[in-house]
Amino acid sequence: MILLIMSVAIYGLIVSDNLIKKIMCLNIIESLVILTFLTTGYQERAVAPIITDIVTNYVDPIPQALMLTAIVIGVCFNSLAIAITVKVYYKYHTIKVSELHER
Amino acid sequence: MNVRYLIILFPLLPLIGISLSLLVKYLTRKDISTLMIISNAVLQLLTGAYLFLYFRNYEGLYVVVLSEWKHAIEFSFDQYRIFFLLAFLIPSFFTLFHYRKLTDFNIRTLFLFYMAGCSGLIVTGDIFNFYIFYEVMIMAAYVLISVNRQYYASIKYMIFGAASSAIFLAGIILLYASGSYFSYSFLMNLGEYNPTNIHFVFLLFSVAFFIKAAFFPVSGWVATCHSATNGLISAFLSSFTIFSGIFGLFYFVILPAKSLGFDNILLFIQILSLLTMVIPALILFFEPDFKRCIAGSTVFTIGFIGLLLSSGAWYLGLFYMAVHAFYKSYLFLLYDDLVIEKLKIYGNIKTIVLILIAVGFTVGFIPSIPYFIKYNFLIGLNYLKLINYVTLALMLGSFLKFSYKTGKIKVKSLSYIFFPVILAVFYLMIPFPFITSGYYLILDLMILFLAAFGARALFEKFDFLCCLDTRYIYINMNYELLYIVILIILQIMLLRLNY
Repeated sequence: MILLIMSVAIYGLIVSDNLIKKIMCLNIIESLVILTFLTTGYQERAVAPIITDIVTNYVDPIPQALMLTAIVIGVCFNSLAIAITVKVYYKYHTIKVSELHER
Repeated sequence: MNVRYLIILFPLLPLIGISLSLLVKYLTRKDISTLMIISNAVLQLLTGAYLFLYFRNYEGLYVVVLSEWKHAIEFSFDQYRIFFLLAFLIPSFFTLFHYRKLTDFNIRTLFLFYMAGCSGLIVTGDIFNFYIFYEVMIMAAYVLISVNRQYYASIKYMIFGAASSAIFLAGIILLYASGSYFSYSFLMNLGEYNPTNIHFVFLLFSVAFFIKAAFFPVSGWVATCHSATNGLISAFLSSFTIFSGIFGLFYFVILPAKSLGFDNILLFIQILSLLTMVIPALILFFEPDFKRCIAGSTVFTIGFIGLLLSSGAWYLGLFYMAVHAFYKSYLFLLYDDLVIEKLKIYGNIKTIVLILIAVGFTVGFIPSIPYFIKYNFLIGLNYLKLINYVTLALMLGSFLKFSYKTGKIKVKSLSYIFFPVILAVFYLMIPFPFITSGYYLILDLMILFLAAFGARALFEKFDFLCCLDTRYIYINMNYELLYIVILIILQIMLLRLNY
């Protein structure tokens, strides 16, 4: 399922003419990558990795800790990308890649 | 002073600068960001100089672990990293003379963030922190590119940066799933552990770093993005940021692939490097914009460095990268002192002389250091010599199609006086024999003669090929993104051949 959605997002990233759609496709790709990592740490009937005397079976904390950082980076990217896209629109009056001439 | 603390302090210095300037701004409304940039540059130059002297003959990897947990944050340093350190310190040095190009408080604060990301990349000791420091650096760079209101260049840089980071993150996941740790010491000795599915990790890492380091065919963004901003930021982008891709390729692909004996990956990098030398040189020949020529020539250098590193000539490749930081920084900073009218370039006599010396270094013409690097590497490799002469002719032509005129144009910067000093230091540092033969000297002079008298005429005769890249190869961003998928497919085909 992840591979299928990833393929659709990559297709969208390549063929889409709209900058906002491209940013959305990149978002989907990044979210899927994060989801994949989280599943590697998943265990059946395991609890959150807060270690006490009672808890013995807990999920791997590494993917969770790392992906939390990746999510923050993703949010930063989104806000920056959308802000710059607004600037692109104000300057060039379009956000279509085919119309954005470089010089 | 203990080197352990200096390694940790190195990326902390710009972060302290940001905190202080924000604190003073909010408490007293005074702007001390310029002072912070200058003091940070001075302190980083001093710290960097100490690290350089300490590690220049150091054997092995120096590791600083922050706690006893097996996944604790690690910092590390080794002999190879002194070249990356040099590539960062050279534009940092020019910050002392060109800090006025950073026009307001927000830009200066972002610049300090950028410096923090760059310095963190150099000293990080694990792959996930490499990803984090890279993102800190590149997020600041996205905004710094748009200081001249070139927003399209900024968004283009963002999309390519995000695509490569997603692929890199996928590689990190697969690396973890294969039972590996993230530390450099583990990755550099991967041959001893041989984790499962590691060839797919190399696939993802190599594609991510091919994009970050702008290997052909995903090199179209370099000329657009690096030429969009002011001279100081362009100098940093083309001296260090783009080479962080080479840094990743070297530490996470070339060294582990070598230790595991994955020769096909190294062969693939060699082929791609050759293409990255020849095709961008051809594109550059038909480029009418001088600043885009300076930016685009970085791709040619990346191709040659990729070739050197994948062929095992690590010291030559890394030394080339450090020298490149010197002349590329000068080219971008001198550009701001030029007046350009189509193919005519006017400048002060000092500026024009320094530009021509830097152009000689860019194309690898005798007696520049890149010439001796090439000469030492190409001994006995006849098929590469032919490619070298073709690229030399194209690169010389791409800069000599412009006519350089001297005049009384005011020079603004003091950094000129350091040109011979830095040049002399690099010549003293050359780690290989300083040799050449008369035969090659005559060949080079003949190519120079041809380029000086034929390049302009050829450029004007084939004017339909003008802007070859944006007109025919990278028609729009969608084509450039498609080339990433083609690279992935080529790598998968290579893996299927391998197994």
